[in-house]
Amino acid sequence: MRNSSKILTFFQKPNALLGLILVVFFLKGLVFALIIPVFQGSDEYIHYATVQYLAEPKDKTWPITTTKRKTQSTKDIPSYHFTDEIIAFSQLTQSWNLSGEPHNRQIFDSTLIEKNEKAMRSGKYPSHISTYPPDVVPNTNLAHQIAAWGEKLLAKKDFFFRYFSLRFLAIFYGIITLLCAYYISLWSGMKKKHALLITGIIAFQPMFSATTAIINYDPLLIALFSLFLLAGTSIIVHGPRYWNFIGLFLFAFGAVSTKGTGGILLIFAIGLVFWVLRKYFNQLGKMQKGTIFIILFALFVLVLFFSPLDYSGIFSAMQRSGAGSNLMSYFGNSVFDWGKLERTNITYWGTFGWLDTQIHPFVLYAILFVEFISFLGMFLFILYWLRDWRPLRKIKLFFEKRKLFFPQFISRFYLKIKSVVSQEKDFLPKPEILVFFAISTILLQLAIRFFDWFSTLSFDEGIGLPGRYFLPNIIPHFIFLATGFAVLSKNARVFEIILKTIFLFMILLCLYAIFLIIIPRYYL
Amino acid sequence: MINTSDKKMEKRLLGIFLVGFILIFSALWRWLAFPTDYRLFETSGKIILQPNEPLSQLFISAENNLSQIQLILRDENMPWGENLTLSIRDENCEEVIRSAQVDWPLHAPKQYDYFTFPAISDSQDKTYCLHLLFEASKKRKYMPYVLTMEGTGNATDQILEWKKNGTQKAYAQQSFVFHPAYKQKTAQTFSELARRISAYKTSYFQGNDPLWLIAIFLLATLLLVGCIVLI
Repeated sequence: MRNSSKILTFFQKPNALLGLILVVFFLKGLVFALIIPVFQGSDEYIHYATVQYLAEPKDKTWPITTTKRKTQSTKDIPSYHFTDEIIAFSQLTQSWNLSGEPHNRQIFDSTLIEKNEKAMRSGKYPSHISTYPPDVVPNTNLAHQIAAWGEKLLAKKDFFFRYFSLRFLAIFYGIITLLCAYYISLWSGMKKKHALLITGIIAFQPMFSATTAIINYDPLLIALFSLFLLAGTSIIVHGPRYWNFIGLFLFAFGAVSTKGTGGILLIFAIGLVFWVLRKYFNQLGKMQKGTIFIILFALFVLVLFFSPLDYSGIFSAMQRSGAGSNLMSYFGNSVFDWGKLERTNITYWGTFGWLDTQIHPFVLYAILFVEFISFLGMFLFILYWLRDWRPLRKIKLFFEKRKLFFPQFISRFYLKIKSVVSQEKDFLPKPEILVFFAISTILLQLAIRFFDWFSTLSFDEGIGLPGRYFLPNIIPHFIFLATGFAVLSKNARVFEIILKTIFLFMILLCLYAIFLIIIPRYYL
Repeated sequence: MINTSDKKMEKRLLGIFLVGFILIFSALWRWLAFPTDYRLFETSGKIILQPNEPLSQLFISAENNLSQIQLILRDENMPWGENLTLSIRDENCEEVIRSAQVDWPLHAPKQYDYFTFPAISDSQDKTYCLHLLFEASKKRKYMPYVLTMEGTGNATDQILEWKKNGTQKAYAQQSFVFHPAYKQKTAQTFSELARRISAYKTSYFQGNDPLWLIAIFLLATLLLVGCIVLI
C-alpha cells in the first residue's frame, strides 16, 4: 500500500507523468505495429518499395528489364514493379487476399508459416527492383530518405527485422508530436495538469496511434507540422527569437520536403513572420520594406521551384481553361457532401487496415456528439468575444426585449450559460493562439482538398480525403475541443473533470480498437 | 501522501472506466475461439432473410468444443422487436442443440458476426445443421441478408430455405460464408492467439512475446490511468 502511494506520489510530478505518457505511447505503438499484418497499413506496399528503391546501391549490377506496365490491381501485387522481396512475400502469403476482403484471414497453417518465414529470411529474394519503370512514390522525399538510410543500415538483417524496425521508427515521430502537444498546450496558456491531460488524450487517439506505427510519410509530416506549430506558438507567446524563426522555417521546409500538403507551412511561416514583426516593420522606410518583401518572395519562389517535391504540374493544371470554376464546384461538392465527411471522419478516428477494419458507425456518432457539445462551447466563446460588435448587440437587444415570449426555463438556461461563458477564466488558451490554430486548420483543409481536386483534374482520380491526411492538425483539433469544454466549465476543477472523462474514454476507445476491431479482424 | 478525500468524482470515473475495461475484455474473451480451417473465400452472392423463413445448411465439425459460428451478415443490427437466432441443430435440422443471438453490436462493420454458445464437447466429425431464423413482426425497407459464395465452402451441401407454406427452396451450389470455431483451454487459447499474432513478425517478437508486450502495455496503461486521474 505504501509502495503504491509512493509510485503515485512520484508520478504527481508533471515531468514524470509526461514520461509515463510517452512510455505508454511507445508500448502502444509496438502493439499497433505488431498487430497490423505486414503491408496492411495504408499504402505500405508503395512506401516500402520506395524506401527499398532509395536504399539500392548506386551501381545497379543486377539485370533490369524494362516493360510496359500491365493493368495493375491491388488484388494482384506481382503486377506492380516492386522489389523482388515484396513480390515474393505477397506471393508466398497471398497477402492481397486480406486487403478489402474482411472475410479473409491470413493462412495460419504452422507448416506454411514456418516455410514462408524461412524463405523470406534466407536472403534469396533481393531487395531491389528488377522491372522498370519502378512503382514508387514519384518524388523522393525526406521521410523515405530517412527510412532508406535505416534500411541501408540494417541491410544485413532479414526482411522482417528491417520492415518492423521502420514501423518502429514511426513511433518516434509520434513521441515528438506528443512532446509538442504538451508544450503547445502549456505555452498556449493552459495549466500543467490540463496540458498533461490533453497530451494523454492525443496519445490514445486510435488513428494517430495506428498511423504512427506503419511505414508511410504521414508520421513524419505530423511530427514536422507539430514542431512548426510549437515554433509558431513560441514566437507568439515568448516573442520573436532567432531560434524560433530558424525552427519555424526549418520545420516548414522539412514538411515541404515530406509531402505536398506541407507546402502550406511555408506560406503560413511567411505570414506569421510579417504579423509578428509588423510593429518593427512599420518603422522601416519604403525601400527597406520593399527589399524585405522581394527577399521573402524570392525565397518562397526558390523553395517552391527547387524543392524536392515538384509543384510544376500544379501550376500547369491551374492554367487550364475552366480550372477555376471546376475548383469552385469541387469545393462546393466536397465540403457539403455528408457521405464524404462521414468517410473522412471514420478514417480520422479509426480505419486500421487497408480499405477496411473500421470502428462501428455508432461509436463514430458518439464521438461526433461529444465534438458537437465542444463546438457549441466554442461558438458561444466566439459570440462572447464579439459581444460589442454592433450587429450582434442588436440581435441581443432584440431577444432580450422579447424574453417574455420565451418559456422561463429557457431564460434561466440562457442566464446560466451567459454567466458561465462570461466568467474570467485563467485556464483558457490565449485568443491569438486560437487564431493561429484556426489558420493552420483552414490552410490544411484547403491544401488537402486542393490536392484531391488537382489529382481529379490531372489523373481523373482523386487522392480522396482520408482522415489520416488531417492528422497533422491533431494538436489544434484537441486544443479546440478542450477550449469548447473550458468555455462551458464554471471553474478549472470542472474543466479538469471533463478532460479526465475524455481521457478515460479515449483510452477505452483505443482498447476497443485494438481488442475488438483489429485483433478479431486479423487473428480470430 | 495523496489526498483522495475530495476525489469522489475521480473515483466514480475510475469505476466507469473499469466497467468499460471489463466489458471490452469480456467481449474479447467470448470471441476467442479459433476456426481450424484456413480457407480464403470469395463472396459471390447474397440471400435476403425473410421473416420466419429460416435458412439452413449442413456442415461437419472438424474438432471437439464447437463453440462459435462466424458468419457474414449485413444490416444485422436488429431494431426493437426483431430477432436473429442462429441455432446448431442435429443433421435433420430438427432438434436444437445450441442457439445464440449475434454477439456484441459494436464490432467492425462488414466483418464476420460472431454467434457464440456453450461449447459442444464431443462435436468432432459430427454433422450439424446451421439454422438461421430471422423473426420480425413487419417488413422493413432494408432486410438483413447473408453473403454467400459459390461451391460448398465449409458446408457439406447447399443452402435450404424453409418457406412458410412448408416447401423448401434450395440454393444450388451456394454456401454461407462461415467458419465453425472451437473454444480451447485458457492456456491453449492464449498460445494460439500468440502464434497467430507472431506469424510473419520480426524475430524479436516470436512465441508468446506479443502477449507479454500486450500485458505490459495494459499494466502501464492502468498505472497511467491511476496516476493521471488521481493527480
